[in-house]
Amino acid sequence: MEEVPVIEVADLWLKRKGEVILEGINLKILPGDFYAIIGPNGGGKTTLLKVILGLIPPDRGIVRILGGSPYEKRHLLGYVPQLRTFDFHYPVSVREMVLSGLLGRKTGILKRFNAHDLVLADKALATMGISHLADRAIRDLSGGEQQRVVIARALVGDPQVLLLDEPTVFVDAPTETQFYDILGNLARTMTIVMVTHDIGVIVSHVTKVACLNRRLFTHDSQELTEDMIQGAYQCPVDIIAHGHPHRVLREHKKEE
Amino acid sequence: MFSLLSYTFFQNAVLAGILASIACGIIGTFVVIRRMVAVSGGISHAAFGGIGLGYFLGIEPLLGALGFTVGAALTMGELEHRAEQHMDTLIGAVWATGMAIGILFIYITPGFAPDLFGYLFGNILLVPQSDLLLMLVLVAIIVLTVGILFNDLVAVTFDEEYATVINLPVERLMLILLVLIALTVVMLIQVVGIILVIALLTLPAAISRECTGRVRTMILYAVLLGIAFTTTGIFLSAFLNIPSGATIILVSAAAYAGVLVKKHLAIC
Repeated sequence: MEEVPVIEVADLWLKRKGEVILEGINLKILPGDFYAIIGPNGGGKTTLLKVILGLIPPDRGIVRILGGSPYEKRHLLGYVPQLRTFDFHYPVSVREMVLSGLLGRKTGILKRFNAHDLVLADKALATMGISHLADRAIRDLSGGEQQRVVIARALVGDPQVLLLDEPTVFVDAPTETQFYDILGNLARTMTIVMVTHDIGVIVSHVTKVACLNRRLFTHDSQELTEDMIQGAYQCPVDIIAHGHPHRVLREHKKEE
Repeated sequence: MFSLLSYTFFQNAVLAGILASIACGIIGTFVVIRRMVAVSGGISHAAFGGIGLGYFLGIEPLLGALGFTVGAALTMGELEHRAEQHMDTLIGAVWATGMAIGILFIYITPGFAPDLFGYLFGNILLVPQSDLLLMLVLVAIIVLTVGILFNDLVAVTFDEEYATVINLPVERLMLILLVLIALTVVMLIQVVGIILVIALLTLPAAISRECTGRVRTMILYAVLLGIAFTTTGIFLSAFLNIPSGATIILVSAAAYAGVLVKKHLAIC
């Protein structure tokens, strides 16, 4: 029996000012996948996530989330936007920010948080290992800590799917490993879709990889094939410029 | 000094300052954290057009101002989404148009030229009882609306995209906020005048922001600071016989400068 995809994208096209940004994208993300979408900057990774979330309407094609349209179901996903889009000077505490992730599920005019909501927030904070920061203002945190808060906000409603956009931009190297361990643990209970330009990431934890540079090159496994890289990055020199040449090449040799 | 308080006009002035400070503290906090100071500037200058129209039609100028500010707020909010114009550009257009309409209507209105200077710089010492009642109603609307929608307003002003993804009515909430700014602006025209509205919306909230990392606390501090500034300004202007609106703002600005200097010294 074939599994029902949690996210399905069929023949998706997007043009901006006459330029094709996304070209005939087909993507199926199944329950339990830890799916990495890599590709060069400007390749359309963030745009694809925004189309999936219904933030940008496509010119052609269909997006299904959990069997419904993006507008119907997007509030059930855990979305972790790029960190650089945030105003971290906003006067809000870590706990308040995490709680705001529950607002979409509240009905009625008065949206007050109850004791149960606080328990959910504490659980999400514990998962990300930042319980001790709960009452701090987000502007007083380091980049890595802020990143964890943003993920905790996405986790607070126990989503089936977690969508992450460049989650390691402001995370330094030592915490990065720790960070991926947390994501690896989360991957046991939920589907994870991660967009990144960091090719090194795919070595650990990730179960499937696709390369995106206007077109999407999929392989339905964690291996990066030469075709995918060539297709997405156009020339191998680009990969070396991205800083992980050895890992990528080694991966590649193993495959042969 | 306190003998001044036995005069009704002086009591009214202090009361008007308190009411304005409550509205400013609440709305100014959102204006500052969402970086909408320029938007408030545009809306407040659009009010001038409404005042001119009010004189021309022979109705209460403040009612005209209320119509124009709410109209400008709604138009800017809609155009930003529908016509894909930068807010920055819309602010410039609304700002200039509002002033021009005001000047034009006042020019073609027969009879005495009204005291425009009063609307530009305000005179809190001349606030009539009826305006106090209007202010009280507006403060009640602001407190009630923000009280009910507090969590939504924080979510939308903090991260609009995420608020959209979790299916909050983002566009509607932003429009409500713009209308609340418009209401506050109309009220402040009485107290400090159009020119200085921006400062009173901005300064107490800006100082408050330096002291706290929570929206709720920021609102509380901004309200208290506003009350302190307006009351000090009113007393000073009465004693020194200088314009009240300008005095209130200069008191606020001095406090803001003091906080910035203190912060700077603490860092160095």
